Amino acid sequence: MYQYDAIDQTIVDERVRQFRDQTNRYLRGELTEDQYRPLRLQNGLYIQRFAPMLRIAIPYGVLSTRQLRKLADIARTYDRGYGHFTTRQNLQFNWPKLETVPDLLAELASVEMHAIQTSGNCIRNTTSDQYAGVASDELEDPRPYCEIIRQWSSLHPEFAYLPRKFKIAVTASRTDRAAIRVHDIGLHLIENDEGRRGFAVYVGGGLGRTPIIGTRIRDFLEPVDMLSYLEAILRVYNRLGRRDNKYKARIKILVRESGAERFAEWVEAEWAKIRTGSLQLDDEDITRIQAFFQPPAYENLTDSAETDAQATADPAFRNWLQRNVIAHKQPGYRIVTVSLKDPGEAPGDCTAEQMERVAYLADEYGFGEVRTTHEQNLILPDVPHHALHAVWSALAELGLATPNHGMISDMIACPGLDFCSLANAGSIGVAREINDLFSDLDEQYDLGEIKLKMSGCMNGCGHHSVGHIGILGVDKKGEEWYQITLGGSAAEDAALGQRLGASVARDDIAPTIRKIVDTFAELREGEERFFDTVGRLGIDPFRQAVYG
Amino acid sequence: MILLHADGSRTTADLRLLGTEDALTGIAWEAIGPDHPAIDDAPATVGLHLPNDVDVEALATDPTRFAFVVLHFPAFTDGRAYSQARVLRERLGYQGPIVATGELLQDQACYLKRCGFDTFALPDNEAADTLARGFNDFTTAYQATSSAELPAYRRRRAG
Repeated sequence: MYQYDAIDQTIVDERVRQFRDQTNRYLRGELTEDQYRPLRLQNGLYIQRFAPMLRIAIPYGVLSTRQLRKLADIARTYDRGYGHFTTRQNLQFNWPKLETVPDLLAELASVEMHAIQTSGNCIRNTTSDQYAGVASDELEDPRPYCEIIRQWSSLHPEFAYLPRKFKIAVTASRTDRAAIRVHDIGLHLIENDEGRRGFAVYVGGGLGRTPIIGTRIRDFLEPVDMLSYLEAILRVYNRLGRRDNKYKARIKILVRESGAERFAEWVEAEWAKIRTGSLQLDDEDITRIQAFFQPPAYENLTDSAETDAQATADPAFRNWLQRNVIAHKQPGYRIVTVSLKDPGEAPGDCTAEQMERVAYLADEYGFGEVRTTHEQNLILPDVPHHALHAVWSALAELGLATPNHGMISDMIACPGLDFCSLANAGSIGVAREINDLFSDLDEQYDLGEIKLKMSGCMNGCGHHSVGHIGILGVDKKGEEWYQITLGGSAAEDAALGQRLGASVARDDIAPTIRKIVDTFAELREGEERFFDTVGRLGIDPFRQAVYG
Repeated sequence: MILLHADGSRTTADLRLLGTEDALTGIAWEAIGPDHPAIDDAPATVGLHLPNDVDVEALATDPTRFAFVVLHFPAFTDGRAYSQARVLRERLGYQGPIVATGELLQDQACYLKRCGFDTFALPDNEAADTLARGFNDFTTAYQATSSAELPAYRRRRAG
């Protein structure tokens, strides 16, 4: 993975010093609440319902075990012994004290981490495929490009005060696991007809209260032109994005109101003026960063007959293998999903002990690297096939082996009303109730892939608009109600869910989901996925079943 | 009004927007707006004041012939003038003073300098002291801007 040099370390250290000064000035009353707010947000610090919430950047979801251990350490020292992995592959702490946040940031800096631009109206953490570098279906490792973008976007002087937040995602596989079409910019590494590699560029996707699927504005962009093209998009947005209404300030509104074609013309015109400047990368600039992401020292392994025998003997292990383990680029290795979806816990929550144990497993059965996913799980990227049973046993002991990856109980949910000051409704309790109704794993397997995504308010942190089943918490005269959408997707078949009908009351939400899934089970043809059944029949049969 | 310069020095000047006054007075720090009737024959001592929603490349007049250019921050969270400053400096080659007015916090000082601002209009010496403290928040950066010719990836290659 990427290693800091003196430039990176200086920037992070100086940012900690600057933030310490900002916080001191605020505590002394030299900065007003209104002045401090944007400054603290640019460093990931929110003031929440009960305590500040600090969001820590995990660039493109890659963590070293040293970093993960430090996060565990911080969880114990500064928080209540756990953290929450988010849909942006980041980690949130919900209980730090404001006065101690500068010290916490200094600890992060000691392991090459930070909270820079994890919130605020600036360029956020660049996200990517959680299987980058190990996926069997990828064209190339997208992480070097993410790192180049991370550096370009960090403390960019021109783009620190944009109209609104700005999110970039990069993927290099045909299967889009990075949800690039619901990002402000999505870069898809492809090979063109001549066999050259470059990016298809999508702009103007996003979730929140106006969900929009991004539009492709360029079919092919040479990798050396990546930064100049991004800068051109950002400059057009900084100049022309709406600032009169924060709900219309995202780039998706600018693209929609101007028309994607006209927007693309503006970008191309700006790009033509900066393309050949110092933003144009040389191949050497790219290979230098690629050198950090070379494959680790894999052994020549073959799959283990013993593991296969253990799978035959133990149905629980077999289930886990089928659900949470996928193919690896390298023979004899597998990619393991560490489930943070224990039915009894809030999705994405992870205790300090769990972090440390996962770090231990990544060192013992890997090369010291862990990934975070936008589906709020962790990944052990390089597990030898012969070690799968040992890893499974260890994870099961920790409550991290729920064999539900891609199933209805592997749901995405924001922290909801329990923690977040923006939320209208709870999501953690609802998640529990739904899990109770689908406690039979065999049934879940029969149902196949169902992506259930839930947000506690229309800001959409839980990506509800692109869930196969989406649940949105709304406030009705002080009561928690829930709107349901069906047929959304954040993958390569990106689509927005359609609203099923009137929102349902708190007590009815879990039974309603049950009814929808039962209807699917009746109408499904063969092994059809939920998403495809909704695509084939539309939502009317589901509407009928729910509302009569 | 205090004008704080990027090197830390200060001058006292009366930065006024003409068009609200009767005549040009020839004081060095007077500026006219892009729609001012006298824009084409403004004296060489007069600066140009640009609201932050104008495209500096699409002006009817050449902005680089003015003694200075004033760019405005109606709120420190409105970052449009950063783009204007960079285009003025890096694309149009403007070398005169670019003056920042409006809500300027010390936390922006490095960003302002790096985008090409070299003069900051502040109400008093105390505000100038505060902003100047921010000049040294960062000693290095990733991006090439008007104040750093090479981005980090080029500097690294040079060793």
